[in-house]
Amino acid sequence: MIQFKNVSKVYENGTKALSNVNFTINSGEFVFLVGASGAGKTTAVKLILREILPTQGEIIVNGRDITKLKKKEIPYYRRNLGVVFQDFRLLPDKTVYENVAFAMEIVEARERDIRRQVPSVLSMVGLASKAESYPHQLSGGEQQRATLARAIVNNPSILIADEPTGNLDPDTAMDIMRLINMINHRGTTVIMATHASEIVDAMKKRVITFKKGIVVRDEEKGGYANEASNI
Amino acid sequence: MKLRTYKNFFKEALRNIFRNRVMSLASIVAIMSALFILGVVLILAFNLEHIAGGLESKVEISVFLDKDIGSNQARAVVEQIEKNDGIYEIEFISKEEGLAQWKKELGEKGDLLEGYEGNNNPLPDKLILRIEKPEYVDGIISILNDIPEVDKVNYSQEVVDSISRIVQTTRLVGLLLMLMLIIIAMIIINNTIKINVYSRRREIRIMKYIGATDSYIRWPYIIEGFTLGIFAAFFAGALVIGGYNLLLSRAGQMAGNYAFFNLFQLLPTEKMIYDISLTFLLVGCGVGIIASIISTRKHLKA
Ligand SMILES: Nc1ncnc2c1ncn2[C@@H]1O[C@H](COP(=O)(O)OP(=O)(O)OP(=O)(O)O)[C@@H](O)[C@H]1O
Ligand SMILES: [Mg+2]
Repeated sequence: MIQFKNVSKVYENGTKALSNVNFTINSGEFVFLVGASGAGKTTAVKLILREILPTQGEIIVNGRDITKLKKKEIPYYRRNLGVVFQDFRLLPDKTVYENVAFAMEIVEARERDIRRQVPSVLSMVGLASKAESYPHQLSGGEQQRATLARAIVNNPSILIADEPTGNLDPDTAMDIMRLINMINHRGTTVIMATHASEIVDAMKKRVITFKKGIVVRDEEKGGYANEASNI
Repeated sequence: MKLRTYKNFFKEALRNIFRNRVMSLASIVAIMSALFILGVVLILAFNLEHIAGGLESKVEISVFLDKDIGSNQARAVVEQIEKNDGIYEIEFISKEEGLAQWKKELGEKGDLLEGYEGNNNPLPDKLILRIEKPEYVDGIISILNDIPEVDKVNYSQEVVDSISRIVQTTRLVGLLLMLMLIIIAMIIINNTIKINVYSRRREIRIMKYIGATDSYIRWPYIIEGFTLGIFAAFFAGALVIGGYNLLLSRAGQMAGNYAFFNLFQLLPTEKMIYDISLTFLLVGCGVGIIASIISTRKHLKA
């Protein structure tokens, strides 16, 4: 469960990115965060990742106020989250297999589990045949599949995706969405920030719409509202 | 952390070293230079101490007793002196023995001393004290001066003093030089790691996203510093010990030609190789590790 309670974020330079934001996302939900460029979606994502702290308010994740996490606890907190970005962020000098295995090495999984789990996630995302390829040898869609594999390999309770389809053509984007949907069906909470109205409209999931840092709409089975596209 | 994790760290560290060959080499050369100076200082100090030790064992104080005391009284004085620390040998030369020695030294002209035997003997009883270390000399001399039967005390201090001064100065200058070079080495390693961290800042960010702890991120860099230190210690050791062996063989050749070189016996390599290797390894790895810890602390923040 993720809960924003009166969350505001003002950046050091005075930019008000979020103002008094409230929402609750239950376990197993699939939620889109939409809004025009600069509306505050990425800011919300960074807050959940505990990359930044809110200026005000509480952020409760799985029962803990993560704004009160000690610095030492942050890495352990993040192991509950799978993260996917627009720009893939794979380690360039590791193969697909190594990139995924790396996420397990960091949490010191057993060698045996790594050897079992990595091929299984890779085939789940349809990348089994590319296990030994390096990121630069992959298409954008394949790279994003690899990041998805890395994001879920440790079975996180929450998957956070910031514009995961931003660099992909529509067909590839829909493939990735099917994958994310499948991950959601396995019980993982999914939070996805996006501009892609077709995707949002097609998926019929809960949509939280931001405008200039304020939540202006929060709908079950919503669509990409007009408020999101106008500035 | 698990053993396998450390194995991965080592792989990572070696990969880093190889990827930034030029900076790695610069770091190794920097530590090596510092170690080289340290080695030269050590060898100089060892040898000077060896020479000084030879001289020190010859530190002698000559004590002349009053001419008019008897042999019982003289023996009492010897016993009194013996009780003091720092004296490892007392040689008693009675006036008779002294005269006999003198005669011997004069050889053919020994008969010049005819008639000075017995009560006419002009020589005092003499003691030669052999002292363990020059530090004891001053104390012993003041004790000797307080003994009424002691007439005169002779001691030549200069040689010993100047040698121990040379040893001290060499050590000081060498240590300062070495400290300077260690600081330079640290700066270069710091730069190596900084470049490394900078070129991998994307990777480090990704590692943080997927939940790597700071120490997990730092370990490879610390191992990198340690490895650079080992390499430097190894090369510096080979250089210093090889160089010294060469010097020894040259000195050996010269000793054949010039008597001067026989004056001071250089220490054989075996006497120092253990100390030098150990010091190099400790200092080399220490410098590497400390520099890595400092620079990762600085550059991994974010
Ligand atoms: N590090 C920062 N320092 C200062 N201002 C920032 C920072 N990051 C974002 N902002 C500002 O905060 C506001 C919200 O930015 P944010 O990145 O959350 O928007 P977004 O909804 O993700 O936009 P986009 O759709 O373009 O990714 C913007 O006005 C942006 O300029
Ligand atoms: Mg954004």
